[in-house]
Amino acid sequence: MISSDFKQDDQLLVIKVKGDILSTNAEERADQIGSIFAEFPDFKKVKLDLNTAKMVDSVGLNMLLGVIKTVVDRGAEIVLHISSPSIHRVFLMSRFDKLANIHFREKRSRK
Amino acid sequence: MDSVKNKSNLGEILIVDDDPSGLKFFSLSLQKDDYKVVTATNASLAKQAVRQRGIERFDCVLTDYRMPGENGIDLLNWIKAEDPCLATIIVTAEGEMNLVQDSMRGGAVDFLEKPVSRRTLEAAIAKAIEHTKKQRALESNDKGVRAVSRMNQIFEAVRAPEIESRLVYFSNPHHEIGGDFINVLPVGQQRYAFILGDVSGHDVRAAFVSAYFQGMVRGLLEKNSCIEEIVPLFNVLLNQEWSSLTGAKDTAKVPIMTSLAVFAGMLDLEAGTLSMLNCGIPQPFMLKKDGSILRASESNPPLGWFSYWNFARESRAVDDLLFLYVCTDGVQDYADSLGIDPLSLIYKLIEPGEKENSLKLADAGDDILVMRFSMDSDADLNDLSEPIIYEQYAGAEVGSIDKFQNVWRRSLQFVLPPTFDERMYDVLLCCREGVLNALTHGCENSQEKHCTLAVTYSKERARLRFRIDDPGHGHNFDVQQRIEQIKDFRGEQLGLTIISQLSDACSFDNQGSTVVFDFNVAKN
Repeated sequence: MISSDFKQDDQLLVIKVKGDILSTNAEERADQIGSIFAEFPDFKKVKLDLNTAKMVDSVGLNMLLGVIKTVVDRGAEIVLHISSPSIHRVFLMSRFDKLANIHFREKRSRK
Repeated sequence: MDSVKNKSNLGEILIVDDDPSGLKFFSLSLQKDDYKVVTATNASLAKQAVRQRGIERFDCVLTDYRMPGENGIDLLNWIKAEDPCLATIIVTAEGEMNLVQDSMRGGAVDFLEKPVSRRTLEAAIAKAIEHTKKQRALESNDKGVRAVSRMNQIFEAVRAPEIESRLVYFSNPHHEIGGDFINVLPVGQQRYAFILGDVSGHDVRAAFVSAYFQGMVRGLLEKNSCIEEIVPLFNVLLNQEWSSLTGAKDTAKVPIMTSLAVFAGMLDLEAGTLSMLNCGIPQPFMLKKDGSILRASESNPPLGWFSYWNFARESRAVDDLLFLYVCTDGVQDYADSLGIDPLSLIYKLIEPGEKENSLKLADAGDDILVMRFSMDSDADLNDLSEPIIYEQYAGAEVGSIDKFQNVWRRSLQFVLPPTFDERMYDVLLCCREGVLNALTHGCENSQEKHCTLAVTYSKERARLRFRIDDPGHGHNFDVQQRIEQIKDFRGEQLGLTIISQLSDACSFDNQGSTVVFDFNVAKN
């Protein structure tokens, strides 16, 4: 599931993706994000909220790569928000941090 | 206290009432209906009568509620303590019904309000006697079942002490009686038979079939018959002789057949061979010395299903084997209900320590029986890897990868200490990438081609090892070298690159058609 919110003042497009991005849903997510880009074409910055994701596999990474490329080609910025240490490791390994800002804040369980 | 003998009687009734006219009315009425009666004018005398004659003589008690000394409820409570099956009817005066409502909760079968008509009395007595008979029949049956279940030790017969140290087994009968069994029998010089069986049903019949088969096997093996002769013989017995005893003559009734799932392994230590005859037991697993996992291939239907069947067996050398694991379908079913791989459940069942509560075995819907036999007597059992996952996937199942992943996650969480949760998603991602690679490239997304995923765990070495094999030819380059040379990790071989980067060790053998990677597990 994906939700979006466009803040006109800052031309900030917030896209919240619920759950993991995997081979089994990457194409659907790509279509949904593409539709959001078409709905709000005036964005200057994108915040992609992946805080509920625990895993992104290689197909999911390639999908995110496509999203990053689309945003950058439009002259905009993108920040990826994650809270999974595993995804953070994969992003660093695949050098996503060179392509986009990664905002990592690990979720701690309440005691 | 009085008793009157009749020519015949439909039952013996104890009547307790301090009112002489009431006592007379009840006695005469019931004697006219051919009941044998014993009377008492108070609770104390009633108890005396019961002790003298024996409570089992009485089929019903009819007692007034209001009496001097102990009342009818007090007497009811005493009777319930002596014989919970004996029905008691409380007779109350008009308007006292509310006072004795508690008697219903106390266990009285019925209550009557005075004045009592003869017809009402007859009906109540007949109903009460029927109740007593049913309760006593049930209790008798329960006693029989408990007596048979106390003999359960014959169903766990390990009669080869010289190899007992190599055998670990766990049995958790879900029912008080059933037909699961395990036998280990010497059958010659350095030769042993393992018989693990599961009879359908959980009743006296199942226990009987189980005991009969075990006795037959033991006797015939001692007389130098071989299991390949015994199994078809018992199959015919179940199909032809016993089916005719289950009511099959009544064509209007569907007979309840009895079947026996059995695994018979014949181990020859001198020749170094294991011969397996499997009829309906889930295919056993074998762990090889190189850490790979196999499943036995030949499986026949359970005994009792088909009148004639050409039972096929499988033989192999044991010099490359470490362990043989065999379990009944109760283990498989419980693993399915937990959403885990059966090997993960077997791992925990074989582990020493309490498990009935920790594994919530009361929730298992069936009897559980599992055994592990060590083929190598010199192996250090404390420093070995045990299999915890073994799955085969068809290339066309690539769309079900999420479902597979859920089984891996639950299985790993079931086996590993909670501290491993921190790396769980690294493990799952590597496993996912490895299997996806195998399904799409090695199996070419084909239903006809399969990959295997085998996971072993060494508690002593604190290591998880994953091995994924596919039938493909692999790449035409050195995969390991290629990955090391990759500068842009977002290009080709991204999945295999993820594995090499996230795992603690990995290798790509057979040009990448075999992927092996390890994760270290922090000890508790």
